[in-house]
Amino acid sequence: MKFENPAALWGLASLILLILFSLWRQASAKVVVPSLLLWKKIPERNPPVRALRRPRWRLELLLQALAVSAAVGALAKPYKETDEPKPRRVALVFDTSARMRAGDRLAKMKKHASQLIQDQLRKDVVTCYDAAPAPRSFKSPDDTHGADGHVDLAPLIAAARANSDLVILYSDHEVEGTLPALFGAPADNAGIVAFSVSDDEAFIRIVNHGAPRKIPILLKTDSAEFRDTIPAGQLTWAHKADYSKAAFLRVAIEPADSFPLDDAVEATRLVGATSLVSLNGLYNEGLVRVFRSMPGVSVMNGELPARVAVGYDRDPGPGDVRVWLYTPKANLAGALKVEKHPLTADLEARVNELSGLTWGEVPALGKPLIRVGDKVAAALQGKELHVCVDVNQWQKGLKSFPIFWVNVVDFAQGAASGLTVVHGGPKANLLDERESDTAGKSQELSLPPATAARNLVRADLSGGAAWSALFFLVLAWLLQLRPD
Amino acid sequence: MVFDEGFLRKLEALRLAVRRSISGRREGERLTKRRGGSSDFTSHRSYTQGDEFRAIDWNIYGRLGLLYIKEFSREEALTVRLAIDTSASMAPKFEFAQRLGAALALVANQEAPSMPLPEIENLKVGSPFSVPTVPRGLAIVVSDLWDEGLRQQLMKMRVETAVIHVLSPEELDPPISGKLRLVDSETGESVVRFVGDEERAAYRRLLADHCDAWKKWCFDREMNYLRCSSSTPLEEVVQVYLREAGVLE
Repeated sequence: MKFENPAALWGLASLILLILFSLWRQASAKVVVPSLLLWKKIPERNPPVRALRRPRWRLELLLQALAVSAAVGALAKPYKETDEPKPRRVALVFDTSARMRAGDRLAKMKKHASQLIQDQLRKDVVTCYDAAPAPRSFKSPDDTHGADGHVDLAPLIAAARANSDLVILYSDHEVEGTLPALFGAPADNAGIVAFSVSDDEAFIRIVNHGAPRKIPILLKTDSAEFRDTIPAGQLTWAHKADYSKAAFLRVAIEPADSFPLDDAVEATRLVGATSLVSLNGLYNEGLVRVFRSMPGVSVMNGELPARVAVGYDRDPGPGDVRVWLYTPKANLAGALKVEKHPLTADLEARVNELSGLTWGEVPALGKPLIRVGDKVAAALQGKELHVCVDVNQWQKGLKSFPIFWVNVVDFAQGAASGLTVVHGGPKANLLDERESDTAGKSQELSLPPATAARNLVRADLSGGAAWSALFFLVLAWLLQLRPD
Repeated sequence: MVFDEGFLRKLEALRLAVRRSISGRREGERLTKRRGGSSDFTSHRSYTQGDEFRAIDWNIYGRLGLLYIKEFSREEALTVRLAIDTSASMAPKFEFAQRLGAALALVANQEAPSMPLPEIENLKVGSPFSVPTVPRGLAIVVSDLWDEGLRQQLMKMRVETAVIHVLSPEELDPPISGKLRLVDSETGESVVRFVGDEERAAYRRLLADHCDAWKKWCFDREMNYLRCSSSTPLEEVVQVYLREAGVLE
């Protein structure tokens, strides 16, 4: 035990004063006498000096001496130094890339790290690092969790090195400058690494890190399902069909591996919440009103890119569906016939109504939708619709007018730009191809022994001494209070 | 209270000494000033109305022609009242006082059973003490006489009184020293004194004065006074000191 303020130990000299004072002012012993009649007549006097030669050692004096000693000890600030190995700053870097989910190695890594801290790094300063997906540091290995994609370890390790003496990497491959604790997984993963889909074809590319094998595949849309098998050794697969009406398309392979995250991809058709209709050319209030009355449709004048671009006696602007609306120069003669098409849905029942309108001829391109006699009054070519009709007549309270334009907007939404890949696997984005190789490497951690550097740990004892002084003081006080 | 047989025999040979003429209700062995029917002639006095005719000294009447009554002493039993101090200060010597009282009771009861032993045996130390009023007979007070108020009570006694002053050896020569808080056993009052040789000597002087004062006070009032230590053998006290003091004969 050493003292930070050894000069205070001179205070122990006060013990001598305490003892002298105690001897001089001894507490009187209680004696019961039959009567004080005579004793009262005897004058009181101070004890003669010879009485001091026979001190009576009492418990109070002992406690007071202990209290003084402890108080002096507290003032001297005693401390104890112990020699302990200097704590190391240890960084545990967790590779939380998606492939580390293969098998249960992420859980094994956490368990290993916790055990390591408890057994071998108990006296060290441990910081954990991972990226999920942004790099971060934390205290407990239990807080780490896997990322949905590839994790770049370089910045993590750089950050860990900057703040640590020792960097332990939990991954499935070594990185220079770190102590590897590697957890491999079975080399059996086959997964989808590329996926594209259009209105008429779905295509995937796969990787197979396991043995060559046949891989069953399932393609599914909202209305159809198709099963196939990818031959052993083949790494691409495509299927042609009409997906233009599909709301979604999902392709899943079933390789029976330990890493299911890259076994499925999905595409979905993105439909905007609002559809823009651009009107170019002549202004017609009925036309504007009918579009504005449709929920989720906004109308703009001009040639802005739109879901439906209408050109009234003028070319329409760019759009998913472009409508050429012509004013007829002459009325076509003959019976009106409505062809079956989504654009003419519900119009067949209103032939009489439509027959009363003035129709003109449009260029006979694409699919005819409405015929008057042997002439075509409305036709669809690709996504371009041509209609020649007297709009002023049509918009005057005829129900076929809004029905037709609603059909046009619906058709335009269905014809929106193709299927969009939104995710692969149950939750993750389409995985980075680097994440497909889940095999990695296993390697036990080999922790170097504690450094030779040792720390002097100082334990301050002054608090204990102060409390002891207080304790003895209270005890002495209680002793004086006790009944005789 | 157990006395050995030898001591009891010695007690049988003792009787209470009474200097004054005593009077009691019961007729007994003691001659009293009260005129009575014993054969011991005392004096003559003039006849007064109501005197018994048979008490008239007819010889004087024959010679002198005057009516005189012939008086005789009356033999009465001695009434003895024993008062043992039961105050707290008596604690160290109470057993001695009880035994002394019992011995005196045995002596007194030889003449007439007036002091029941169980009363003495049942006395408990620590209760307030006052000297009982005794109309006639003999009063024996056993006390340590630390209560100055006792004088007032004794002064009221109109009967022959014997005061036996009992002190313990610790009171006679206190074996205490050092700085002491002396606590009165009765009042609880305390004083702090350093007790050394000087104080002990002073105490002994004061005690001697105190005893002398009591002795003189008793003498002035015709009371028997005896000081004894509770460490003195009871037989010695009874056989020697009480006889010397004139309490027993």
